[in-house]
Amino acid sequence: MFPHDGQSRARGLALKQTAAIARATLVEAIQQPVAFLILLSAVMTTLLVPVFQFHRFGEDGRLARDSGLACMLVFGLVLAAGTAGRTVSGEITCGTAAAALGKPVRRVTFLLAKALGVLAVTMLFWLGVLCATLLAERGSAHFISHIEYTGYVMDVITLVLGVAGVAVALLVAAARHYYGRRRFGVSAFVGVVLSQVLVVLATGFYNRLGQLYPLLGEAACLDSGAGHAHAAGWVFYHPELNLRVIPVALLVLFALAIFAALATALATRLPTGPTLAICAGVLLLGLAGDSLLIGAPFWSVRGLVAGLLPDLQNFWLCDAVARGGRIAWRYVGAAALYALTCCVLFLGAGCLAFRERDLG
Amino acid sequence: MPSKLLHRFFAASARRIGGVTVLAVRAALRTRTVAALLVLLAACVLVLPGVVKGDGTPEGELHILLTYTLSFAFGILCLATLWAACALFAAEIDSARIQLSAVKPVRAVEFWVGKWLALLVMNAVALLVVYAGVYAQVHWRMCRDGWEVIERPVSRHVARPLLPTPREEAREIFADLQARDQLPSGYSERTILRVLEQKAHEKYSEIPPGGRQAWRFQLRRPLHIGEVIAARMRFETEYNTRTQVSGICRLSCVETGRAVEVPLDDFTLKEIEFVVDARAFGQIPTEGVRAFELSFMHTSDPKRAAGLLLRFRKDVALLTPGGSFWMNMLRAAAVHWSVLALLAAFGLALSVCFSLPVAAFVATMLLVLTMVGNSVVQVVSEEDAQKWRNRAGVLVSRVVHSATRRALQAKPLAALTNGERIDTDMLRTSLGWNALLFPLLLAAASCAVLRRRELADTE
Amino acid sequence: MPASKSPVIETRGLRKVFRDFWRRPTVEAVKGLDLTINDGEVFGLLGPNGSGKSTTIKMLLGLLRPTAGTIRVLGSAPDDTHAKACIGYLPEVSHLHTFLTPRETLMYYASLFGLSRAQAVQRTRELLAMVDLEHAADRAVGGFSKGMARRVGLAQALVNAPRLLILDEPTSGLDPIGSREVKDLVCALAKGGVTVLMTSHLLADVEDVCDRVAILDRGVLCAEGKIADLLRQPDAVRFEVEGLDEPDAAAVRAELEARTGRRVRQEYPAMSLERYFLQVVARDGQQRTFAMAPFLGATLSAPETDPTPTSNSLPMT
Repeated sequence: MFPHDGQSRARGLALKQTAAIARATLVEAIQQPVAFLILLSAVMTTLLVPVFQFHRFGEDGRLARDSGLACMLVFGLVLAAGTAGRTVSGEITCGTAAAALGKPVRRVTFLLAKALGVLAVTMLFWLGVLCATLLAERGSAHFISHIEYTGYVMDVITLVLGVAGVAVALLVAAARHYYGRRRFGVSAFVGVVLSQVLVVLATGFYNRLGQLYPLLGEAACLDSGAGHAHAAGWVFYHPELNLRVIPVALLVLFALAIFAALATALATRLPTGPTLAICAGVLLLGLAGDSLLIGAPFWSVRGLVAGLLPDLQNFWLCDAVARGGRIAWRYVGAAALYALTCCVLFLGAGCLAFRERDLG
Repeated sequence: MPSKLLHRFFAASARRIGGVTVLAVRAALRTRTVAALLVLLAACVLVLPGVVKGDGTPEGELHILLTYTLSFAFGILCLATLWAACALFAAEIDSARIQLSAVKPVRAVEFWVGKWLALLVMNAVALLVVYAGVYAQVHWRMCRDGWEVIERPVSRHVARPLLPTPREEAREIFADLQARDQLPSGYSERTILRVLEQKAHEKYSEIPPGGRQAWRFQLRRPLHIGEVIAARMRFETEYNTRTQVSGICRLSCVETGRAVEVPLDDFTLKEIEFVVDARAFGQIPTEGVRAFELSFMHTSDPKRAAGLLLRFRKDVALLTPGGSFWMNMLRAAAVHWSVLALLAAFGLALSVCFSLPVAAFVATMLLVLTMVGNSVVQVVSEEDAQKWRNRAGVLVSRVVHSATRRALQAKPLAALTNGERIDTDMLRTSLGWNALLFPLLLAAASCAVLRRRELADTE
Repeated sequence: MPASKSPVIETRGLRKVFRDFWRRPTVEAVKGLDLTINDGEVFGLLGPNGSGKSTTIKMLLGLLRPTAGTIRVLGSAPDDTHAKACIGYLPEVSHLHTFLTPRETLMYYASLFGLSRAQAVQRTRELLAMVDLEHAADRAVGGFSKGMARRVGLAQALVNAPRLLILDEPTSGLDPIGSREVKDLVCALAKGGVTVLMTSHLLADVEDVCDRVAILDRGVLCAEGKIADLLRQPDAVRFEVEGLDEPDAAAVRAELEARTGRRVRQEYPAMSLERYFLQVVARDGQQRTFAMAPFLGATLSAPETDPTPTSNSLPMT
């Protein structure tokens, strides 16, 4: 028996508890109908934006991408704040939190596990909407120069596959619910995310005109105007996706992580409605942070507000990938550090607030 | 005695409805929902006008105070009403509290009306507070900045030119196109007529330099001695040129045969407005005069000046005194209140069908769909609407538009900002549809669901 | 006095099947229940967890729709508002609005019965006194203990001076004194002609107050009848004699054994724990019981303008 055995065992137990609570939070959150509805709305809106366009100025792809990212941020915020509200505030009200804390679980562990659970839900959502955004951008009208046709062409197949993926996911979830009595919400949520990932992977096998690379190879690739990718050689798999969106989406995920932490902290004291309202307010003020700061002395209300709130402009860089631009990974790393700092501060405040909270 | 029994029946019913209303109001007051809402509204009314920068003119300041502040406050109230309504039944069913009330001799409709009334009362109070705050700010600005009499907010009756209705005009153009065999192919008669009617609403007509245009008016309320009448024309110039434009406006009273001519040469604001005292039209009978003619002669140099473009139905108007500004604000508040009444009814209808999060989500999505749908209907061309990929979206938008057209017809803030009196028709239409007919339908549907729904579960 | 022995509650072939989203049956909570509860009876519905007691009560109240069978409550369908006007209901969990005070809670429920303000104020005052909550009448219910909340729940069930009182686990969460008071109240209400249907897991409570009981198990009615009939052991006789000393007792036992040729068991009956507890905390308990006495004896005073023929009912629509 070594003296540090007890400590490491306690640490192991805390990790196990964190994992168990986070997992329960994740499952509990995604089985809620509203979580699935939010994901469905975000994915369908993103996929349908390229379809329902009435004006075209050659920027269809950009519009689809920006819409997808905006959906990711707004719907993600609602999902994160709503989930945190229900899982923390709701459990405190109905006594589930008291039951869990009646076991040898520390309050800090409980709250951090809840925050991790909320973050996990947000990440799943983010993955689904990111894939839908990639599909929407690929599916939107692009100018191509082909042997038989020159002009704007929509990648209808990709969009149809994206929407069909959602439909299939719903059918599978319904079948699992009917035959296996599995929870519909969980199956549907995971299914929709999975379907979008699979369609994203599948897009590598065909070009914008629907010609299969494994059958036609480089010729098809060049004919479709996508010759920029491979000048020579047999192309078997070439996803025509704008992968430069991923760093931008990662920044949005960091913003969502901040909201997940903030909402979890707020939910220790407030019900879901006010939590959601405050998060929405922080989003608006955070996006206006730059404007607030301009010309404001530091020791003024405006200066303090701008200094205390997370500057969300750091996480909203859609324009950076327009016209072939890209975001440096170094910047993404710095943004991650900034987001992490915000999360730690918010969760620290949340832990303090939760420590003094009556659970009776 | 039947009448006595009836009276007792209604008295008991009123008490039950009152009980439900008081409970809902108490819930809102004691759960700090109203306090949070009032803080938001106060921030909106007090902070927003200071943050948004105007153009420095009294009109600009007034525009910000009325349009921005009231729009924001109204938007907040819309969302708050919708979500609160979604919570009223759903939360009570989820928490099983409704079981205690449902076993009492209360009808579903009494529950529904009681909760709806609670929302109406709270909205009325909130709207009054907001409008009073804005009115106080307008007054404060007037005093502080010393606005001229002409710059002060007013309320005036609006008379538009006597023109064929858009439908009549559409039919005339259709007949003309048909006679010349120039109807577009591939479209049904109904579609063509609809497009023509839409275009008639927004149609611009040109008054070229050297040209003249006259319009006839019939005032709804006669003009009496001692009152003033204002003529207003708004216009665009070709290619937005800023060249010097000049003209002569002539306003004549048909009944007395006297006219007033006003030469005009300041067109920089793209709006002409001049006020004429009624005495200028000669001997006005005691019962007042109603028929007027306004003409405009474009006297600029045809070689250098541009033509004026006007939408006759919208841009030309005669304005006569129409009560005080604060009464007009009250009427605008009533229109807004009626829309909130409809949203409350809509939220309650969803609340009896779904759990709170789902109801709130569906309500928000439908609200967004309504806004998007109405915008799509306005901007989409018939050519775009015919494309297969747009068909579903356009169809949904048109359905949404036709379902909500009457509810959203009234534009109280535009009227307030333009100094136009919100007429009784607008008020009656808004209150009738939004606060009466639609809620009645929604109440019937909700009660049908509530009666059939099981209010307990397996526990 | 109410008409004697007319059925207040009558169910025939009552079934309730709960279904899932796809309308497939998940559980049959009540299976063909035939039940008749007569006017003025105190009827106990017993059964283990999941036996269908609460489901039956919720069907009687119109909160759940029966899958099959018929229900008549006070001669009407369960969702008839005229019948509801004469029913009082205390659910297993009180489900009170936590932001209201007891006074406001009772005023609210009184308003749902269409009582005028004066009637509601008077009834509220009486009920607050009855459940001994006058001192906490203006505190939010959210801060109450379970027992206090239960008292408010009980008061709201009596706000209309009901003809039929349905109590789901009425003594749950109450201390022995409160529990005793509720049982006394039930007996007193029954004396005043009120029909009471109650469920309880505490069999002693049911035994104390009920005239008849029915035992449900997995939705099936297993036994029904008067308590005395159900519990009687016809092959045994018990004598109780006060102040008999040990030698006399031994002599009596020997005499009985000799005469009957059977074994005679001799016992010293013990006081029930409830009675002992009430004796220990006698002072406070007695005061409260006495405070309740005026309301127990006469039941609740009916409103002044009571137009309905039954004395315990309130004017309804």
